[in-house]
Amino acid sequence: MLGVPAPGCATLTTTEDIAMTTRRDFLQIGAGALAGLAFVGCDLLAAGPARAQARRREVVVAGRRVKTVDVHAHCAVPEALALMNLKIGAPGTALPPLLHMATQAPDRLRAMDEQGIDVEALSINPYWYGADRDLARQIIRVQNEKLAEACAAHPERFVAFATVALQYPELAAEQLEEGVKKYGLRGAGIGGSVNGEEISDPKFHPFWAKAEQLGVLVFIHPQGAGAPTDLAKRLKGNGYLDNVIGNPLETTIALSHLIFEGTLDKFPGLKICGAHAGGYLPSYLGRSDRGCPTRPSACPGGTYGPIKRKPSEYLKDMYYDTMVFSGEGVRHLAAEVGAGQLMVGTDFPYPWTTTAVDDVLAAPGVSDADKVAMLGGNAMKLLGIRA
Amino acid sequence: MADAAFVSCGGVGGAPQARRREVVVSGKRVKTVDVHAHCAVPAAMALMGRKLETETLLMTDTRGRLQAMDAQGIDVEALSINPYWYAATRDVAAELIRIQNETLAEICAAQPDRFVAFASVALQHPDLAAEQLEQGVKRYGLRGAGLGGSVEGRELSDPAFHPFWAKAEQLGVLVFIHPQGTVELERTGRLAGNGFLTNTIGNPLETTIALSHLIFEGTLDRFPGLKICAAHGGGYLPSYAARSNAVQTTFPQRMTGTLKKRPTEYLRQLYFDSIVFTPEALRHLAAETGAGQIVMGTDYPFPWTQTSVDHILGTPGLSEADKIAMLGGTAMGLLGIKS
Repeated sequence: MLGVPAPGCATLTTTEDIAMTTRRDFLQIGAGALAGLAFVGCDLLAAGPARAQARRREVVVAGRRVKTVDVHAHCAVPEALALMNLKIGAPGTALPPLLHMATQAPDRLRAMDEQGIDVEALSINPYWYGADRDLARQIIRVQNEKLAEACAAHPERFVAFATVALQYPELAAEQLEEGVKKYGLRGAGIGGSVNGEEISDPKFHPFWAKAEQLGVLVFIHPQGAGAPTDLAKRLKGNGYLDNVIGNPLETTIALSHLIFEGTLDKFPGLKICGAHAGGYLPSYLGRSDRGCPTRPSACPGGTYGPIKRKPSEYLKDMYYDTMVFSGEGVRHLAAEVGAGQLMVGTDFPYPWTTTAVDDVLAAPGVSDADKVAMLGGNAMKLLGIRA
Repeated sequence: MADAAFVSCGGVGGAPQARRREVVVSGKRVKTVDVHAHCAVPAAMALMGRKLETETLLMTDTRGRLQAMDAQGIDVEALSINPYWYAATRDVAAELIRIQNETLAEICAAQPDRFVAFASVALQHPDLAAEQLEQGVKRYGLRGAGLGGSVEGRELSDPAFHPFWAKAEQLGVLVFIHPQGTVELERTGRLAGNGFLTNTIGNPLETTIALSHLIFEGTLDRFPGLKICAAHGGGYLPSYAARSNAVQTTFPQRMTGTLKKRPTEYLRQLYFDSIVFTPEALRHLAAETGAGQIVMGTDYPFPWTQTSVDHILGTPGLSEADKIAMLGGTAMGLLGIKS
């Protein structure tokens, strides 16, 4: 990977992954091998002028139009990538052209329209945690500026999470504050670990303190440089397990340390959103509560001594996207952590799902009010999106 | 294990005999089976210089264990021994497994109404393991085999293990997979610190990796008659199932092998114990795998739960027949336990 940490949007981490040099190539792949890419649709493949505008899907619950928000949507800023010698669509990278907001926004909006997504909260997966301070400062400045521009170009359709150089916690705190106050960004996007260090490490406290003080949402998205690399030998073979298992695992480890090391006790006002439904933790909640009673000697306390609450209670205070791919999965998540903690996520432009809205609508036994909250209400509050 | 709840249920000196809990569903007494119950055979452990983790694993005096079973409403335990012998040479492994399986047979013979057992096998020597399984079943009356989630860094899907899987399929017996943490992740230090993450994450993760490889590497296609039961609700996999399907459409270029079914469909042919701790989690597990794939587990003598029976009885949406099957019916069929 050009000698840098696996680029984030990178759920993709290896060179045999999508290597798309141009949008044209991408669409050719889309028409063939990636036949399941619903968002590519037919109109994208048709000649430009003849292309019909797809109709915008308007999501309605109980007869009322609902504003929908996707909290898990990737993008990239080529000017910032270039500072790390990375390139959108370059061979050997996992950065498809659709990540580019300045040139690809129309295609993105068409996909959003088809899927019934009114607003995307854009984030950029960290690829700069190995950068030195000056370089990191430059990357983040360009990136946050461009994110602000992308949002300003379509204020009804996009908000964004600030990028921060978490390897320099004090700097990251400044960048978050500037991102929110100067650029109107709505929170921060971070990885699940930073160059092998857990995000519960006290060195990151300046960042957490700032996020708590500002009251903004921190979106945690796992990266290839974390657990997928730690466990590479066990996750090779058929089925892309380095992502399928590695990604939820990285988030599971990150959230577990935030709970058990006492980070969430020290910063009780933090608003954290774990990608991919928080990894495994919320869907398999019970074991976290039972470990310490079963083996007290393995629970000497965190940084500040014993944690204050049951582990599952912290899980019920965090937020998650709904990326579990089924109505039953969403129902279970809501039953475990509460519908008020869940927000639609799609992982755009990676085609994990094109039915995120439908999975929420299909969740059995969930009230209309809870569905409206998951579809957009929760995210609107957390991200300051007007009705 | 001073914190084991069963100690306080009347097992301490002079206390009266606890009453046996008889589980009843729809007015009918139900025979209950715990497929996830640990034990140890010190004479075998000595061959590897291993010490006993807790005396509650011993079967030399089963009074405490029976008392706990009675209090929890467990009629029959299917005993297994977690593998500690995967590094042993062929000779040591042969001797160790012989002692262990003979002893397991004696334990079961002493209380045939309360105990059956899984054979232990030296999976690092797959042809030997196949022999040991056959001998365990035919000579010692054991009901299947207990395995780890990997074998000294090798996945269970490694073709080296095909002789073992072929024998298990041929005999039609249940293979119980129990993880022992994920050592590769422990070594990175990422599970260190507060919270027993080496177990609470390491164990379900190991099972998740093991089952994923058995599915994606085609082992379950090659041996479609295999009966496999995975511990702790199958780890994370069944409770977070659909991501394994989504990858097929999202990254088809990473599907380097062709499977006969969608990944999650294999979950409906595997079995899982019920150790997910709450009725809600069990409801979800049943929704993802089918109620007929779930068999009760307790993890005895480790005090993860004392209320496995109640989790099943309290699970919403299950029919009475489903509950009876989970409590014991399905396991009785798989393990050849008479009603």
